[in-house]
Amino acid sequence: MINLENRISSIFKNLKLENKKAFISFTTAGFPDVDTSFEIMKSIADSGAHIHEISFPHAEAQADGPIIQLANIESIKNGINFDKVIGIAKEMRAYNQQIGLVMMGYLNNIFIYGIDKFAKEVSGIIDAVICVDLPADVVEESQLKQALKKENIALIKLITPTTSDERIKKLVENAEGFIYSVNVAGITGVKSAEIDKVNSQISRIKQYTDLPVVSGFGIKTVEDVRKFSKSNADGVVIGSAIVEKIQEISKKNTDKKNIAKFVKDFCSELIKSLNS
Amino acid sequence: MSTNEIKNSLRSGPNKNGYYGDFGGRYAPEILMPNLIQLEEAFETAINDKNFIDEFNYYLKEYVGRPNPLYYAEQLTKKIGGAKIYLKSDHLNHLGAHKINNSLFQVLLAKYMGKTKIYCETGAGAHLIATAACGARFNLPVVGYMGKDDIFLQSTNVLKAKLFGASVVECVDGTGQKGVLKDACTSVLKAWSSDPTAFYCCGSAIGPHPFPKIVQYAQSIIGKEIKQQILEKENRLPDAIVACIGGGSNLIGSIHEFLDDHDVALYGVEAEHSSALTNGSIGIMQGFKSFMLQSNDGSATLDTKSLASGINFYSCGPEHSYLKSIGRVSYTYATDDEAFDAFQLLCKTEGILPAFEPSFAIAQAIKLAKEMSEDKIIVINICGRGDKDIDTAERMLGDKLGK
Ligand SMILES: Cc1ncc(COP(=O)(O)O)c(C=O)c1O
Repeated sequence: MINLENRISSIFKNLKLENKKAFISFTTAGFPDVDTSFEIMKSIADSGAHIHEISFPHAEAQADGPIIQLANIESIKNGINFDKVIGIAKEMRAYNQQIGLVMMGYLNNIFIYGIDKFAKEVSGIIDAVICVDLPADVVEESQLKQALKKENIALIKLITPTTSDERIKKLVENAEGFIYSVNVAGITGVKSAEIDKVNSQISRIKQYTDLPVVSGFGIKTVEDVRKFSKSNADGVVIGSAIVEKIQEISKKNTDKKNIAKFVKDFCSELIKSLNS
Repeated sequence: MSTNEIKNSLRSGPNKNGYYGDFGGRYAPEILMPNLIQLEEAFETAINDKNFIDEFNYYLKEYVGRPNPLYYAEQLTKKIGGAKIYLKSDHLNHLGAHKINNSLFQVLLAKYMGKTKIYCETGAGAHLIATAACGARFNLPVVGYMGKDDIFLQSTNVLKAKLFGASVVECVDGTGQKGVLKDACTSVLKAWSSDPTAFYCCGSAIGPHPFPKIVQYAQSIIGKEIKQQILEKENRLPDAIVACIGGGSNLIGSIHEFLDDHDVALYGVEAEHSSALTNGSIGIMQGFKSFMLQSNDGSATLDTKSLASGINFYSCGPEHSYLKSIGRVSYTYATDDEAFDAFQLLCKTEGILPAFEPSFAIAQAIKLAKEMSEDKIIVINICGRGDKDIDTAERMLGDKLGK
């Protein structure tokens, strides 16, 4: 294990002292439009979220369900591109220096942008990267990992219900930041996570690593979050549920400020349920 | 038969991580990785198991109807006035396309692995009906994923698949409005992720490793037969082989046996508005790295269009990107008009109704044959028959068809 000391590691350290879990939100950059997506992220930071995942959209998102897929397509239609996503990340960092920022998406954007150029560009801005389609045995994995490491940015590993113990052992060996434990076999926003299975998967992971383990996929409601406050995860990720809320309100409401406020209230409520 | 590395050979296949040079790989979400590794291991075991290979060969002969003829197209040759033109007759296979070679292999592999359910994607529906038929034959339920637009264009194939007991899921892109082959590919990967104990029968030489290798292996029967048949008929190898390319399965199947025969010129023909190998750039989507038609920042594929649904694909199999990068295969494209003319020409000269897909290959082969002398030999793979396309042909011809 590599002990990368950055904002994310101290966030988890501090939460542990307080016996609290990390609330990790996820929204799609550029959805419903570029400016509003930034306003939403600012309000999420204001709500007290510990870490925010800025999703850079991809049209052929292999691991995403209909909710995030629709947000991806809409945001691409509305003119988002990878440069602009990096721009949003920079503005977010200027706005808030405490929140952990993760860029999450598919490898092709980083590959096309240039791995080294990307790492340098987001240096001092983001704290971690999650690439959904970047398993350990493709050549870009070690390239990206090394490039990010130079900038003190973690490359996060995902572990799923199909990952064997043997594979977990290998995956956590040089993992950094935290481990992302995927709760369900499937795509985002469809199946619901079952707490018993989640707990046993996280126990399985924790046999092999001291890194924080966060639980994501299939956590949808305030009740879910309340349930997960008693899980053995060190944090929970809420993605589709927030994106779906944004979709609902932006359909009814043209005043963009209200969307940001609504999301802030929703996240505040979720955070309260997580750490009450 | 073994896929062990052959020294200094272009036929030695991908490296252990699935790369052909810089292309290919296994860019899959973690949820699919155990499946892909399990599949790769089962594939290697199966092809070294004499019983498995005997069974595959038995059904290739008795069910698919192989070997199919390497037919000397004398009338077409005379009409064009150049190289001698031979047609490899994969349109005469059971269900009328090359796809059954691969479906049969993979359905047998699914059975070998003890799988109980099969997913597949499809463009023109050829892979769907082939997989559905094999599923029926070997008692495995098949769920096919097909783009909304293709379901409309290829309705008879949808009907056939349903008669074989398969179910068909309509796929759309994120907008929910339209859907073609690439949307079927993304959808089927999602379905497989959600049901990882199922078997995914990939229809072309695309996708994460080991699919390009498996499909190449199964389809190489085409080129093996070409080699044997041309040696029997002409006592020498051909000067050129031409096939169309969507994902690249019928092309790699036609040429793989000849990759080390450097005197045989090899051609892949894409559709003009989905010509990834001519007009694309290198990218990573749907699990593999290859040339593709994509937006500047790599967020999306570009819209593609073709008369032939089966080759209306934004990318191509990684082995083709590699063969392009080293210059072993020439990749070109034909226009819809050229293909439609070639389609009619083969009907008129030989009484053979090709599918629209190989009509793109015929169009290019005609151009090549014209430039070649009469002592040269060119082989075209007629990878499918045109029954599925006659409604569209009728619409396009209108009055010109005559009474
Ligand atoms: C008749 C026919 N030919 C060709 C293709 C293209 O596939 P590939 O490039 O994999 O041979 C298809 C695909 O559906 C097809 O149906």
